[in-house]
Amino acid sequence: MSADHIESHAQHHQPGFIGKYVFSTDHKTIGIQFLFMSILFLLLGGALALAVRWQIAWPWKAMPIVGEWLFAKQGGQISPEFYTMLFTMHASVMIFFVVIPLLTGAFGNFCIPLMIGARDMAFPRLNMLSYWFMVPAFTVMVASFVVEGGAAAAGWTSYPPLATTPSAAPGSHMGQTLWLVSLIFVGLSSLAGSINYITTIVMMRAPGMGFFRMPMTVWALFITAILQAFALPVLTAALILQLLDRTIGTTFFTPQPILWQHLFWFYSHPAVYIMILPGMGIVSDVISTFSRKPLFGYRPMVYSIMSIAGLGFIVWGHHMFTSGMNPALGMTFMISTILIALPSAVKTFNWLGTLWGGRIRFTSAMLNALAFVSLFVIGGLSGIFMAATPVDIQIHDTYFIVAHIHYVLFTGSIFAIFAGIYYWFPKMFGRSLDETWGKVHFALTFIGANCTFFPMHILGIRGMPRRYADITDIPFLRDLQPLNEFITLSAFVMGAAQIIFLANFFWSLFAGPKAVINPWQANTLEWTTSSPPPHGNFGETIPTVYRAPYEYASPEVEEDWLPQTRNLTKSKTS
Amino acid sequence: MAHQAATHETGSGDWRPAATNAKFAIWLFLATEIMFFAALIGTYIVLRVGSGSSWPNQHEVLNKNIGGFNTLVLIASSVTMVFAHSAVMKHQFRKMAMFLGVTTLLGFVFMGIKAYEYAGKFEHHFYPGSTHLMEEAAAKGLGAAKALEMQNLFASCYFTMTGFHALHVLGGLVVFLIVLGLVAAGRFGKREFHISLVENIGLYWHFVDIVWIFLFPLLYLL
Amino acid sequence: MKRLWSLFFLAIPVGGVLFFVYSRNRWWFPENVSTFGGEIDNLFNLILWITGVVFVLTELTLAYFLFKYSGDAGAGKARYVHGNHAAEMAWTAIPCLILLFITFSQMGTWKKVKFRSHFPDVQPFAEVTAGQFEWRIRYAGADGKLHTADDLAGLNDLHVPVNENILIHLKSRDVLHSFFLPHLRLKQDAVPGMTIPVWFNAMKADTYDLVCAELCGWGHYKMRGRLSVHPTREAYDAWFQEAAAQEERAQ
Repeated sequence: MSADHIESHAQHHQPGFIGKYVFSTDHKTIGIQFLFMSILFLLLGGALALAVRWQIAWPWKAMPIVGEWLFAKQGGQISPEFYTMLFTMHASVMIFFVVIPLLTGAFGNFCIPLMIGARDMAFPRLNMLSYWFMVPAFTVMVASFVVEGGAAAAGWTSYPPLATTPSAAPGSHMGQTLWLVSLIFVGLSSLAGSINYITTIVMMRAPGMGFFRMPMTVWALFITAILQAFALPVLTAALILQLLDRTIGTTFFTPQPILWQHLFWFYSHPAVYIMILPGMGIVSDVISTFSRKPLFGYRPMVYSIMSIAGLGFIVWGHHMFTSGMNPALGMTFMISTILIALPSAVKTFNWLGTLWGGRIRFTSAMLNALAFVSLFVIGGLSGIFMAATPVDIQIHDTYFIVAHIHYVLFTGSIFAIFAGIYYWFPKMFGRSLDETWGKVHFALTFIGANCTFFPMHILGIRGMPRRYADITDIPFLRDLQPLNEFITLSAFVMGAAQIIFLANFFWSLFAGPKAVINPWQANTLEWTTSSPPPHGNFGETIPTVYRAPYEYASPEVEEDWLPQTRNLTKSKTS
Repeated sequence: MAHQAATHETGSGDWRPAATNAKFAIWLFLATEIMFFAALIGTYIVLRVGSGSSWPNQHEVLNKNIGGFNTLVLIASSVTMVFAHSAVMKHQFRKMAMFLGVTTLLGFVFMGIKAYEYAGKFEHHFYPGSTHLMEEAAAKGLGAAKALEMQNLFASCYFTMTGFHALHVLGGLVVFLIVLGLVAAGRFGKREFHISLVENIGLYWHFVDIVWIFLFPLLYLL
Repeated sequence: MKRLWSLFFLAIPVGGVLFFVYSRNRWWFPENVSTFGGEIDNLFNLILWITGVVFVLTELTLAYFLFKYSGDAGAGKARYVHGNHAAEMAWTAIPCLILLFITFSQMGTWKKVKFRSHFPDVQPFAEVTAGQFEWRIRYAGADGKLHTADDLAGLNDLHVPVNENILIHLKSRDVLHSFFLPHLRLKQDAVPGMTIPVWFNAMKADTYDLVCAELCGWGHYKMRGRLSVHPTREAYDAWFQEAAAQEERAQ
């Protein structure tokens, strides 16, 4: 039955230039389009973050280099209004145009068909559409900087009434409307993508590719897509309601502003898992490959991803402990939230179990994956403080939460993304990244990230509220300023380190050494086809899968890897 | 041959549902749609329960006879859709076209009645952001302002929920017309996906119907 | 050479612990002056100890494994194991018990601070209305009732007597704000359309910062007030009389 689809895909013809690179329906090209778009926005989001850090460390000092050009009217200073736009857009860009599109858009598109042995997504044209929905989304988001009042300024959470009352903030004029329109497009893109991913994974796995033979990356993207399909429509509805409030005069969020928070976090807490689960999948693949050892506890890993996703739907209220929500509800949300730490702990122990007794190869991909494990522990543990309702009273909306989210989303998701890029770059482009510069980039990013985000825990413990433009006037916070300056300097080091990454990326893209089919001696299906894979992914026939994805160090063969496609009984039967 | 051997050897877990990709995807799509309408309906319930006694008397605004009649129209259209579906499965395209034509007609009747209802509301200045309502509130003073605020809130819920439902009806009607056009041009059934298109749009139509069956009592009766 | 990478990862637990120890003496919590604040600090420390031990053990294990198992060509194959049922059970069950312990240890304090049924039985002391970017205060006055003739208005400076249960009615007149008294371990959002009661009992006379902890617009960072705790009830009453007289003169 599935053979029918496969055969029809085999007749793919080679498209022309526009069809190949612009309006492509090939999942690999679409994945790479997402990759380039997101790297571009990573630069923008990073620049916004550095501007935020500049202001906090040296409030109202003229910005070096870009200040006079950007803020000529204020003599190079960031105005307090613009500061609110900076952090709002930093978060919006990083979440909706960097982390989600990189993990689900770039890796989801590139990896899913290749790793399950399909020739393309189930609906290639819908897939193309899901990328092109991003174009109006980011155009509108970037354009919002230059409209009257400037970009949205009510935080990425856009709580009404601040977001819905134009007189409350300059960004709540046109900027907020554009922000909403942009996110509705992002939502359509992700919805189209997730329906496509789920259908592809369920319907189009190669012969022999049972669910429990899928690589963890595919499992994670699968669960993520389900999470997205069920959570995102709620956000879309909420965005539409806020848009109507702002444009035609409905009043959904006037009588009960907290209603928005419920709708928003019903999506946006699962969104945190949307931004971390694929990373966990990638890291599992990379760690098993470079430990040369089967993944420890494959099934528990799958079940823990499922339970994170399931629990993820009933924890949203932990963002609202001090919001005025019924405190009894807060208690139930505390229980579900603390329990979600459990599957995360199980995953961490399984990664350690994978390393135990391995033959670890310290490639750039592996180092980034190890950094994920090491630092995700911090992000996971710091979550417990905030899940504990009484402790959260003190640290809610302080830098403690800023530290926590960055330990999850930066040193978690971004390190996983780097691991994925170093790992699949040869497959994507047929050339290899430079390993030495890869390690230099890793080391500087690792040091920079920790020096930036670790001290933020301390700022939070003291009680420094987030989204403050200047703390030097506040008596109980004043002596934190040296720490803030240190953080900013570290952030600049980390930012500068990304230049190395970009140089390595683009240099290797054109001039890197040619990659072989299976440079890492890995087992999964994408490493059985050429680098880069042809249109239609696999040659004449679709590969057949004989075993689980992590059969490293198997005693059955001489080598320490055993590809999923290798048929050991073939010689006997034929 | 190799294929056979492989599935034999690989054994369990190599399962997939007995459905086409398109049918599987349409079910997924409908699941996302359920979440979308659940958010709208949930918002309405929270706002209404949270407002307590200050919520306006909906029965003064909405005519349950007209709404009830429209419900019957939509249910009838679902029934004719079932007939159209069973006809297409037997490759009786003319019969399918007839039932689909009736379904389309009923869909337009629903939209016509909806438009009549909307027109009435606008005539009475009952719509979100109505400046007339605001002026009235300003003239009557504080107590009336609260009541009219609630009026506006109810108008917001009513128009948003029924409006998004009507957009979904309209979407279905567009596809119906395309299918009917294919039949009229004698091209229907030439390609495999035509059959599944009717099946899938039927699923969608039943979903739209079910949404209305939730909206009608929530807005008109309770 | 490869083993150097394990040192790199060893820097995380070592550096992390050293930094926390250093910060504890320099940048820790502001002094607690609230009756329930000590409980919150203890709960924080409890979680800090538990997570700290888990953190150090996990990171040391990671660094040790990276040292021990850094691969060399010709060292033979890795261990061919797919998991260990006993280990899986252990590292699921034990964290689960610890997490449940943490959860249940929190509940009493949470109830005490936030449950209205557990509030001290006192009349509202004042109403605080947050607005961009100031705190408007209305003291209930001698009759202990809000919105009566003897109310006293104030701005950004909340005066209270020491060692008394203070009940505040929190409101907002425009957007969301959050009433944050870091020295009293108290935080509560102010929501337009709602009146949210909060309570505290300050144990030490001094002036403390009152800041806004929910983004409320460009002036969020400067929406600053003060909590003045008077050393005795008499001192507070004297201040109140003086302020009331001043208000009368101004009219």
